[in-house]
Order: sequence, then C-alpha cells, then structure tokens
Amino acid sequence: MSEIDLSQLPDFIVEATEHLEEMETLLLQLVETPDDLEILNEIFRPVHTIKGSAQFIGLTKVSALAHRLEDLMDKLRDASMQATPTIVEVLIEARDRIVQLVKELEHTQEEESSIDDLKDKLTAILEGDENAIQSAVSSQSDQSIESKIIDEPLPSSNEQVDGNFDEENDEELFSIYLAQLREQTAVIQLAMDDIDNAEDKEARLLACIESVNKLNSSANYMGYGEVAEFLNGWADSIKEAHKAVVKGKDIALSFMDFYFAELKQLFPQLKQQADQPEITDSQSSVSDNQVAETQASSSAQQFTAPGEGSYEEHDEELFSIFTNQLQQQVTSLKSMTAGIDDAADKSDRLSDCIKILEKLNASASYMGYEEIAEFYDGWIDTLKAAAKSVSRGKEVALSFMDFYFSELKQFFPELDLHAVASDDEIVEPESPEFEIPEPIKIQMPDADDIEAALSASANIVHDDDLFSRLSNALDATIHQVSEAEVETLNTVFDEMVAPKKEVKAKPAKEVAPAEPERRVPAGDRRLDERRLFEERRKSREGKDKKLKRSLRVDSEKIDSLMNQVGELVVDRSYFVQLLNELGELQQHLKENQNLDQKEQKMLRTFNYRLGEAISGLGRTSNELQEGVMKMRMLPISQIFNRYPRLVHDLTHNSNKKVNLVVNGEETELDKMIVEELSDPLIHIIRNAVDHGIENMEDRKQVGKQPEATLALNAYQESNNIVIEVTDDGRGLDREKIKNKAIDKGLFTADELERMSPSEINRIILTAGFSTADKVSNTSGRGVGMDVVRKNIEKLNGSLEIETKPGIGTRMRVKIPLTLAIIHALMIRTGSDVFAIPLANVDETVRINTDEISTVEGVEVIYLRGQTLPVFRLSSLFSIESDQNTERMYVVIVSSGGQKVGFVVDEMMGQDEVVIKPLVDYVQDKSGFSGATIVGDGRISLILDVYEMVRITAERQALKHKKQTARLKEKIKPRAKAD
Amino acid sequence: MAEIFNIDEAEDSEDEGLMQLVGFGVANEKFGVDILMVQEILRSAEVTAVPNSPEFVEGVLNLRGNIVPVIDLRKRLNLYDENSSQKRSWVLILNIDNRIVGFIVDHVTEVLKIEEKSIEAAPDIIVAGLESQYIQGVCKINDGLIIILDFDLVLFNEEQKVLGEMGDDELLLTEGEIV
Repeated sequence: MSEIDLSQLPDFIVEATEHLEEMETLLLQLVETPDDLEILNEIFRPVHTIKGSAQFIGLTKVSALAHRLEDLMDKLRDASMQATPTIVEVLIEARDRIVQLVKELEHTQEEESSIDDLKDKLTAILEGDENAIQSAVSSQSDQSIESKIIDEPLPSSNEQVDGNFDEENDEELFSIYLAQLREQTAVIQLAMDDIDNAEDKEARLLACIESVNKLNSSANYMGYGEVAEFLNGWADSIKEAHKAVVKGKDIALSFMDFYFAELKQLFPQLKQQADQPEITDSQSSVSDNQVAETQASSSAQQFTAPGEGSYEEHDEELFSIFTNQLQQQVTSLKSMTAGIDDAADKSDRLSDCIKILEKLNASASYMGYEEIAEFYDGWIDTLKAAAKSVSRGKEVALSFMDFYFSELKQFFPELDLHAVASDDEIVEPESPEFEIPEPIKIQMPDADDIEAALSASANIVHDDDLFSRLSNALDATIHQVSEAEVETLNTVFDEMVAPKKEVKAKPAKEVAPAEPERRVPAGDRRLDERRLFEERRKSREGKDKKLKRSLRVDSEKIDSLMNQVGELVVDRSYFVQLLNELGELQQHLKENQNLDQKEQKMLRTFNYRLGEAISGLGRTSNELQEGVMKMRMLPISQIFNRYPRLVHDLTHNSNKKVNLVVNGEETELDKMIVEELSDPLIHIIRNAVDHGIENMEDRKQVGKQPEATLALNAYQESNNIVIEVTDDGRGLDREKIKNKAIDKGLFTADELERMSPSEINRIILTAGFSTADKVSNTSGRGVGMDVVRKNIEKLNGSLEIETKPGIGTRMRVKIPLTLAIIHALMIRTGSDVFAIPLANVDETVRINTDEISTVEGVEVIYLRGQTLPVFRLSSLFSIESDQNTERMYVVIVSSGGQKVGFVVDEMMGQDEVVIKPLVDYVQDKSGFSGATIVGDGRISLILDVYEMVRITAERQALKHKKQTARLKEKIKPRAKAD
Repeated sequence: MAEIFNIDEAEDSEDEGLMQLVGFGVANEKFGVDILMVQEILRSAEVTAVPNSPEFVEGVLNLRGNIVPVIDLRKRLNLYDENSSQKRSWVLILNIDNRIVGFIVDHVTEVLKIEEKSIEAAPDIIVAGLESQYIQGVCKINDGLIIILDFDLVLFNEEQKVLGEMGDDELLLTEGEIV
C-alpha cells in the first residue's frame, strides 16, 4: 500500500465532495436520458479528476474504483455499451462508495471500506455480463438506500454501521462471524501445528478443509464476497495439499502461512489471535520468509509498475492485487504440478491448473495486460492438450510447466525471488525427470486449430462454446496420433526441440500481430476521444467560467477578513472626523491668522482633496464590507440539488413515481442556515414520499395521476425565507393520528376531542410519534418529525402543516432570514432612503397631483380602470417631504392580492441589498422587515410591504369606521386587507 | 517565572473587590456601568430614525456593518432635564448578555474604580425620579452619588424576552458577520 499524502487530503476531500455532488446530479439526469452523450462526457470529467487526484495523493481504493468507473464511462461514451438502468444503478452505487471512502478519509485518514464487490460488479458489466450483477444489484439496493439515508448525519441515525467491509454488515453479525473466524483459525493452526512431523497429516488437512469450508459458507451468507473468494482459494490449496499427502508426497505447507497473512490483512481484528505462537518454529520461520517475500515483491511492484505502465495502463493498487493473486495462484499451481507425474488424479489436477490459469487470464485481461493474457492463453491451451492426453491414459511429462513458469518470471521479474524459492521447495523433485513428452508432439499438428480457435476468440472471454470447440479440435488430433503411436524415442527427442520453440514462439507470435492491431486503433480512438473531449471542454470552459468559478477559502479566514473590514470602517470614520476638524481648523486659521488668498486657497484645496479621498475610501471600504458579507451567502440550490437523488432513491424500489419540481433555488441564505436546513428537509421529503404519496395503483384508483408531484419551493416572504414541500399524496389521516396518539399514550381521547384540526396535525411533530403501521426502510421509527421541528426551531423557524385528506400535504418551513440579499427598489422620502423589495413592486408611475382624488378621506388614484389607495410615505413616517407638489412618484406594490401605491419623493434605482434584521422592539409593527446599509454607510430601512399594507389598511379601516359613523351615504366598498 | 506568577497574583488580589465603572451623565444624574459591559463609546454617531417604533427608540446606527438599536436613555428612564438644550451626542454601546445596544447619554465622564462593597442597594424610595427597579445599586463618590443601572432591566421584560429568543441566533450572526 502506498502512503497517503495527508497534506493534500483536505483539499482532495473538498474537491472530491464537490465532484461527487456534481456526479450525483448528472447520474440522475442519466437515468432520465441514458443516451445523452453530453451527460456521459460530463460524468466522465469528475470521475477522471477524482481518479487523477486520488492517484496523486495515494488513495488506492478511490483511484481504483474511479479508474474502473472511468473504464465503464469510456464504454458508455463510445456507445459500445448502453447505459441501462442496472448500469446506472451500479454507477450510483460506485459513486456512493467513493463518497463513503471520502468520508472515511475525512474522519480517519484511511480508506476503510472495501471496494472489491463493486469492482467485481463493474468488471462484470465491462465484460458484458449484466445479468450476473442484476440480482446482486437489486438485492443490495434496498440496503444501500437504507444505509445512504442513515448515512446522512441525522441525529436519529444511531444505526449507522461502520464495518470494516463495504458490504452492509450488521455489527452484531460481524462480531459473530469474527468469533467463528477466530475459532476456526485456531483449529486450523492447531492442525497445522508441526504437521510436517505428524503421522496424521491427512486427517489434519481434512480438518483444515472443513474449517475453511465452514468459514467460506458463513462468509457467503454474510455476503462478504471478497472473503468467500479468498477462502475458496484457500480450501482449494489445502485440497491440493491433501491430495499430495494422500499420494505420499512431501508437500511444503508454507502456502498456509501465506493465507494466514492474507487473512490477517482482511481481518485486522484477528491480529492478536493470529500472532499467538501456535505455529511451529519451522513454519513460522517459513512464514516470515514468505511474508517478507510478499512484502519484497509488493514493494518491488512499485518500482516495476511505472515500467509496466509504459505499455499498459494500470495503477498501483490494482497491480498489487493482481500480483498478490498471481503469487497465490502460482503457489498453488506449483504445489499441484509438484509430483503430478506420480499422482493418480493427474487429469483432475490438470483441470484444476487450467482453472487457476483461467482465473489469472481473466484478471490479466481485465487489467488490460494483453500480452500476459495471451501468454496465459497459450499456457492454458497446452495444459488442456496435456489434460486430454492424460485422460486418454497417455503418459505426460509436465516439464513444459517449468517453461511457462520461467516465462512468467520474465513477465513479472518481481516474482523471481519467490518463484525461485518455491522452485527449490516444490518443483525441484520434479525437475530431474526432464522427459520430453508426446503431448507436445501431439500438439504440433493441432497448433493451427488452436491458433484458429484462439484468434477467433482473441477478444472474447472463454466460454463453453469455445471450450468445446477447442476440445473437439484436440480430440481429433489426439486420435490421429494415438493411431500413429509407434514413434522412436529419438525422433521424439529430436522433435522436442522444435516443439518447444514452437510453443515458445507461439505466444510471442500471437501477441505480435494481435497487439498492434488491437492496441493501435484503441489508442487512436482514445486519443481522438480525448481530443474531442478536450475540445468540448475548452469550448465549454468559457461558459463554465461564468457559471462557476469558485475559490475555496476557510470560513475562518472570511470571518477574520470581516473583522479587518470592520476596523477599516472605523478608521474611515476616524478620517471623517479628522476632516471635520480640519474644516474647523481652516475656519479658525481664516479668522485668526489673516491668511492671504493664496494660502487660503491652498488650504481649501487640500481640504477638498482630503474629503474626496475619504469619501473614496468610504465607498471602497463599504463595498469591501458588503462583498465579504456576500461571500457567506449561498443559494439554497446547494441543498435543493441533493434532493432529486433522495427522491430517486426513495422511489427506486417502490411502485411509486414521483416528479420533483423545484422552484426558487436561487434564494440566497447564509451558509450556516443553508446547511442547518438540509437535514430537516430530508426528513420532510422522506415523510412525504414514504407516507404522503400513495403507490401508483392507489393513485389510479382514486383518479389521480399515477406519477405524484412533489414540489420544493423556496421564496422570501417579508423577513422570512419560506421553504415549502408540497405533495399531492393522501394527506394526513387525522383519525389515524388520533388513534395512534391514544395508543402511544401521548394524549387522551378527551384532549384530542378538544383539539382543532391543525392541532391534531401538529401531533405528528411530537417525539415518538409515527403513523406507520410498520417500520419501513425509510421511515416509521417515530423520530422524524420531532427532530425536524427541533432543528427548525433551533434556527428560530417554524413549521406549518397544511393538509387536505386525499389531496395533499404542504409542509411550510419558515426561517427568519437573518442575513439575506434581496433586490430592492431604493426610494427617497425627505432625507431618508428606503428600500422596497422588488418582488413586491408591481410598477412605478409618475402622476400629477390632480390625478389624486379623495374617497372617504383616503387618497386614491385610478390606474387603468383600477382604483388604488395611495399613501404618502412622508406622512406615514412623519418625515418632512420635499416633494414636488405638481408631479409625484408612486410605487405600486402588491401583497396578498391587495394593491396600494406609495407616494415617494424620488426613485433612486434598483439595488441588491443585504437584509439585516432589526431588533424586535424596533421592528414590531413598524412596517419594516429590516435594514440595509447603503453605499455611504447610512442605514436604509427595508419596507415590509405586507406589514405596510396591513398597517395602512388598519388606518383606513379606522378612518372608514369614523367616517361611516358620520356619513350615512353609501360608498363603494373597497377591498380590505385581511 | 515565579516573579511573574507573584505579580499576577498580586494583581488578582488587588482587583478583587474592585470594580471599574464607566461614568456617564443623563440629565442631572450621574450613572455608572460596569466597564466590562461597555463595548465602545461613540461620539456623533449618525442614528437613523425608525418610524413607528417605540418612543424611546431613537433609531438604529451602523456599527461597522452591524445594525444596532439605539435607545434614548433619557426617554427610557423618563428623566426630565430643564437644561435639555445640551447636545446629547454620546452613544454608549453596551453588550448586554451578547445583545449589542446603543444608549444615548448626555456625556461620558471617566472610568471610576470603586470597591464592590461600597455599592449599596438602591433605597426603596425612588432615586432621582427613577423607578428603583432599574437600579442595581448606588455608590458614593467624592462629589456625590453614582447610580449603577441594571441594564438588563432597562431593556424591559418584554424586550428582554423578545431579545432573548433571538439572542443565540443573533449572536452567531454577529460573530459570523462582523465583530
């Protein structure tokens, strides 16, 4: 394992998180439009970036997974594969795993989760074996939804699992398994204890096999694919050893230590156990060697890797997995070949060898090591031929295995040490019997056949069909030869040299033509695509630059910057003060020092210039201040963007279809609030989908669209940000709520009787309340809504529930905006500048005084056939107005269906203002929703149009009352505010 | 090392029982407020009036980007001053349990060091026309009596409740925004 570069890690985590978020959005789009090349390309980009940075930092798992994803994306992009829902599901799962890994990195600086199951899935997909993973995917997706939601840092999620394995595992199960593992490894170790000198080798080995098999089946049950596979290999090896022992062969059992070491790696928890000195001296020394060798070879890989990389693309982690596997398989291969000549079960052994080689072959071609794969192909074929002849009862010398072993060493120099060592241990007894076999000669005539078959299958992974064709071909040749049985030993020897060359040449020959043919175009294609991709990216970059160019800054730095700006503003006011003093000084000098004109002018000029400079400074510092403040503002889309995924996951395995409609995601909120809102909203959405929305059948039955609509809406309402989650589901069932409330003992029937419907609605916000009859995957544990309520109340917000049975439910989260930016129309009345939220402004008109008429003592204007009351802000606010009496500006605002006009002195234009709340006793009933600081540092109050209209309507009503009391004549009733 | 330590201790013991007050005047009375509550003292601050707000609220001012309510202490305490022509241009910015509030006073005098034990409870009778509920205590100094105001009570109960509810959030905001 390579070291993780911790210094780069924090940056990577932030960057990766962002990329992963981007990926999520894109993947969800992909679900909708699987063929969109643009989206595929865009997904490729974050994957590629993540892979690159992960590799750079030394995050082996992340990079391996990303690499695999990249491969798959490549296939999808060149349209050699279709983005089926299954594939997309796996992509999403892989993304989630990376998210998990990144989270682990954030907390422990280590990649803990295993990625092998996903790698297998991705490999399966890459090899076109979609069906194989289909079941796996569907069986896991339930859990993955669950885990994902639990993953969200909700206070309620105490079930969060933190296993050492990627598979969703229950801690309890895992500990049971671990206990079993300890027990069985103890048994195995006991059995292996001094086995070399033991009489009952056979029985002991059988016991080992039994133990390993037990572990294997439990691992399978637990779904630890990786472990199960490993144990399988182990069991096979022991079986081989057992067979050899039965034959009376002497077998080096050092491979056991290798497996133990592997096991320890898989289960670090076993360490104490495994370290117990149960292994005999001789064995432990061997094991030390072995471990040392493994380490040596793995460290060697790092050096050889770049060289390898020159012709094949791979990364270190994959490579180390690959060589580990190689090591393992070669060891078992050797133990199998050892003494095979005298073994009765030659053909079994040979077919086992073939199996092993096929595994190696698969992983080699999976790794993209095409030359090696070709080499294996040749080996397998030779072995198959040998197996055939063995099954015919032929005597076969298997020395060709040595040839292949040495070839293999050439491919993997780092295997040398070990291979040589094992040669000494295992193969040596066999090597003296250097006998040149008929099989190779036999092979000769059919070499063409094999080659034909091979070239036909050059790209394809071996399947049964190919096998049978191969064996047919082989059969035929073997028959021929067995008929021409009588051959002199000499000729055999003579020809032996040739076939050997032939054999040796064969892989090389095959590699030669195949490689350039296949690789060059592949390279070209990739190159082309890259180029295309680069171009596209470049062309998009211009756009991207505008859309999203962000710089990551520690929020503490912004805070300290804020403080500095604050100081700057103080300094500025000090300058202002100094300027005033200078003015006084100037006056003083003028009066008392009898300065001449020239001197006075100099002073005046200086004073003026200083004033200019100070006001410039003021402008700049104010802009700076505002700019720094805006840095903390985030659009609510930051969290809204997460919800399509949530809804997707929630509905994934249900027969519900939900169309998520998002509005107002550009509403800006302080970063802190945005983040605090995320979890409560997740809960609300979950509830809406899980409880509120009916499944498609039910919806059809009640005559609704089968596809439900879930609307997310954010907007500003006076000095609150309102977020609405509206579903068109079944609505709250108050009777059910009542019954449940009684069941749970939250309220008595009497109390419920007295409650208003809305009070009953609010029962769902009570701790421990759930209407779900049974706990489902996603909700029903009764911790949801009360946590939501608490979290929202923590933000000084409120939660309102509106529901209509059968029609839908609306959850309204209202958060007071402590800091929000709005567009406002700046107006002046007297010397004061006010801001009117642009959202409330319908239009502005300029009218003549004579257009105003008075009805019931209220001034009104007629605007396009509508009568609107107008109010003079100056009189509303008791400000002295300097307005031109002839012409006046009227701002028409609307709120709650009510339209009124405000007469102002001057329109000052539109501005983006940062709303700052006023203290309540200042703000209450004042008709302002807050204040903002305008360019010159002065405070401008922001009109709360809703409140203003209410206040004016009240006044109007009061006047109206008085007047109707006085005047009995009927006047057209005007619309009143509620 | 030891010396420094001793000095620190000595200072501590010296500080013990001593209280520093910022003295200020409103109308004809002298007041004091614990110096630790005083965030800053402003002269000639521009206060923006808020229409329709309570009478004692003079308005709001921009304190380095923070909008701070300003209360006219004279109006708040119902102090009548015959000599009202005097320009009242000092704003005392106090931190009352993390709520920043400005108070307009006539003048700020000096920092006084008094012994805590010299503070006496407010007499039951009304001092200088103030309701004694606003008074934390009184303290005699050379040239008269200093009234130590309990600003927690000056922002009357209702305000307090309202402010308290907002307190946490406001505080966070204040910290995050500008301090």
